[in-house]
Amino acid sequence: MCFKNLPVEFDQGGVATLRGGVPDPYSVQVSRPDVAMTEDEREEQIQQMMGRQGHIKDLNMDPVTRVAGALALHITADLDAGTYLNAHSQATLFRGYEVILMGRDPRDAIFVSSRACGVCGGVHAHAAAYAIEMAMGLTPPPMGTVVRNLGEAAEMGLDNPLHLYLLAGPDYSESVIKATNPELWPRAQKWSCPGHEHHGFSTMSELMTALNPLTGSLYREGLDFTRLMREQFVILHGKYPHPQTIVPGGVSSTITLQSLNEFHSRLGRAFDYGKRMLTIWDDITTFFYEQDERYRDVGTRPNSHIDPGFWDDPFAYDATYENVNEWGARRYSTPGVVIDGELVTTRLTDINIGWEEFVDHSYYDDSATTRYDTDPLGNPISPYHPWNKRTLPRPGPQSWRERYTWSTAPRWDRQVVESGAYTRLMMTAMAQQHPVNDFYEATGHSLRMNIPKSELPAMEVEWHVPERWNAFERNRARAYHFVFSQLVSFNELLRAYELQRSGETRVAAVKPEDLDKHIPTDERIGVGFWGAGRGWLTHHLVMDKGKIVNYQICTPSTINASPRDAFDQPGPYEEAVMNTPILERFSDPSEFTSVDMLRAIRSFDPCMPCTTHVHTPKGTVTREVNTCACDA
Amino acid sequence: MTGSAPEVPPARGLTVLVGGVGQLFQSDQDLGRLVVEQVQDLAMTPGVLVEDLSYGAIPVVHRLAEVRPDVLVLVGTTSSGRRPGRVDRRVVTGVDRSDADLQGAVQDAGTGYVDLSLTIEVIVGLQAMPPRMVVVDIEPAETGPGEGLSAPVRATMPRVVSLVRREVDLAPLFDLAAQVRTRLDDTRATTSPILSGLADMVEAIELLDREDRWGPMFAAMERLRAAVARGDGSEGMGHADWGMTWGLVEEVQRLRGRSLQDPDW
Repeated sequence: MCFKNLPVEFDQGGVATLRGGVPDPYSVQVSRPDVAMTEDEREEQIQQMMGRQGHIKDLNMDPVTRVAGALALHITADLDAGTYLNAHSQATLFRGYEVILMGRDPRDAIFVSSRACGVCGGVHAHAAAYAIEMAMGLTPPPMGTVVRNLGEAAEMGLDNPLHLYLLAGPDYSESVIKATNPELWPRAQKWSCPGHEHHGFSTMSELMTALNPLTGSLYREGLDFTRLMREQFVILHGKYPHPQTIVPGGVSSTITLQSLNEFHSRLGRAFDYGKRMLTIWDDITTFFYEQDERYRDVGTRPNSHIDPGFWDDPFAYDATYENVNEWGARRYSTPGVVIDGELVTTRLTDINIGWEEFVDHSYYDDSATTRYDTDPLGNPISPYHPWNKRTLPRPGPQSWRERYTWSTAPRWDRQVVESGAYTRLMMTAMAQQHPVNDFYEATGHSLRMNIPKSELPAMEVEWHVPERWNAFERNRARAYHFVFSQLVSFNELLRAYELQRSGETRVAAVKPEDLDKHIPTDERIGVGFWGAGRGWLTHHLVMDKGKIVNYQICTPSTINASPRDAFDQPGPYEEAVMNTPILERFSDPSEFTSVDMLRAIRSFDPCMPCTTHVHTPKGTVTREVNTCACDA
Repeated sequence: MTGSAPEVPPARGLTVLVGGVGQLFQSDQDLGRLVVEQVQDLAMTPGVLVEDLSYGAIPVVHRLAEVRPDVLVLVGTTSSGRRPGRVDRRVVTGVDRSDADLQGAVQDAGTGYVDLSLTIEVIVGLQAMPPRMVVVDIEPAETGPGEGLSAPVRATMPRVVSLVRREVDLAPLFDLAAQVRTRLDDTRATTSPILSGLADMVEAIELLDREDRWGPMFAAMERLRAAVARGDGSEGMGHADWGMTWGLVEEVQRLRGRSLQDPDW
């Protein structure tokens, strides 16, 4: 293991030290990545092209999501050449949960951070609990970890279909295809689906019709199915979203044989649903590749990914940072970093110490500190590391050259990486260090999965690490990730039955009413290495005198929607858009929907909660019923 | 009204779901959540559920599928350029949005947004609207990160709470009026003072719903009661018809008493 940019060296035991003789080693002027094109060079190139050609357009795709103040993309496109020349990703409102948490009881983070998002209903609560229990020194009993694993597998089971059928699916539906690429429709009508026997659609046109928004059968089925998985979560945690049973050191749920059986009864349907889902997204991908090879370029970017792993081995996880590499290696989904297609590490300490967040193009004041030189194991960390970085909001005017977003720019070893549910498959497949189990096996380049028999027969499937990631491969891999998560769920369910049989039913390290006694008064740090439906999720915590003194949340969309960094490197969305060809057909620029860009962005499954939006619904405004005492 | 009129549905309890949509620690945008905290006692009434619906609109749709309320009362804030602290109540019968816009709302909800108007659009878009949906919508003064409400919105809180309570109180009346309207629309019975009185009564209740005008309803009730006392009914009026007639009268009397007890109600 070695870093490419940060001046950090590792000895044979994997212990990291700063390379000697490098003054100010973390200065952005000292440790810089090679950048193919600076922002000035890119801008100059565009200006020259604009001087020569009149058909280059600056467009605000604002909002990409329809909510005002959400995710926006500012793009410069050459509509004749069919290319995006520049892109800036913008998150336009600040919600400030990290600031709100300052000075609070660390346990509040479980409930407060959960409210940061309206769709990731349980993952923040879990990540917070992991961070807090590391700081408090509480190790969950095995059943506590199993229940967390089961709940979070259910959450993935909810999240992945929601994305595939309600969010991304409509981009490939009959209604969108006829509007944006009508030449594909007659071909879709003639194209026989290879997966017909599994999913039941004879032709691609039938499948596309089923993807139609609001009315398509797959759309409606997806909506219903997410409810089933939500029920599965609720069986264990009583409530979704925002469960109140996640506690430092485990969970506070009462788990009985009946609750496990009820959970089990829904798992069979998930297996069958997954069998169909895989073949649907395999067929969509194959169809588009066959129609035009350039679809392989939609949303593509360098093959650099990161993930902290997911779902712990209940007998390995001890909530300590000292053993983080040991229990990290035992995760069902292996932690890892892939740079340009090469797996460079699977150790959580390497992942952690290479992590930095830059705010050079974000609405924050310089937030680096030197509170900690090292992690608890003595490995050096950067002033931009989340244990050092603070959240110092500084609203200001939008300037593409200066500051333009509320997202920060997280980087690993100063390199741009992306994260997604699909990243878990890649890390696990390439690392080949997952726990022995009956349901999946990594080959180094693929993941073989055995989906048990339910109403449909058992099915063996294999997901291959794609040579090039793009919008289609992200969606396809998300479908396989759904199956992966449910296989983890089944394995953990069987373990839960074993624990029940052996009487190991304790779910928390201490009783909730005794937690007060375990709140440390000295300074502690912790980190929750966890995951969301969209990929990476970490909560870094610093607490002192029983209160939070720094709290840093990094979500997958913070990573993927990140702006330029201190080195002029665009963030993943920005890269993906600039690599996307415009394949949409339109005769007038006013008809341009930018569907290819939207496919690219949506394939990341953006999650950008914030803000309000405005509308006047149809209905009857009966009266103003105000008795406001403030003014007239 | 019997004969061609529809069969009387089996007796059932009315289910009213009061839901607050708010955003924790986002200043005035948290109002919906805070309101439902203040009306939790309503949940002691049979058939009334009071819930914090401050989560994604799609899970809210799932919740509606579970509860299947007859009436949904949603409360929250919407920034729409009104005077800060202004409160509007509206009966939502749909949203003036294209299918593409409604799908956009679903996508927004799926990307994590929590918002009153977004929740309404997703409920409509996913065809999860209950028979009656009332929205109490307040214009926020402050929408950024922050704990607690601004002064103008805090000042509206008692009125908003009172309004939500009143919606729950009025729910049986509006439900009964809707049932009578259906029967009146379908009936082939001969006209009579009682039938005319019932029609007037239903119109007056609908007027109350639209314009908050109580007088016409009380007047219509008196006329109807007089017609009933005279026995001016139509040929073929059955037990259900008489039951609905008396039900309307008694419900309006109950509400009159309620309004006299509490002038702010």
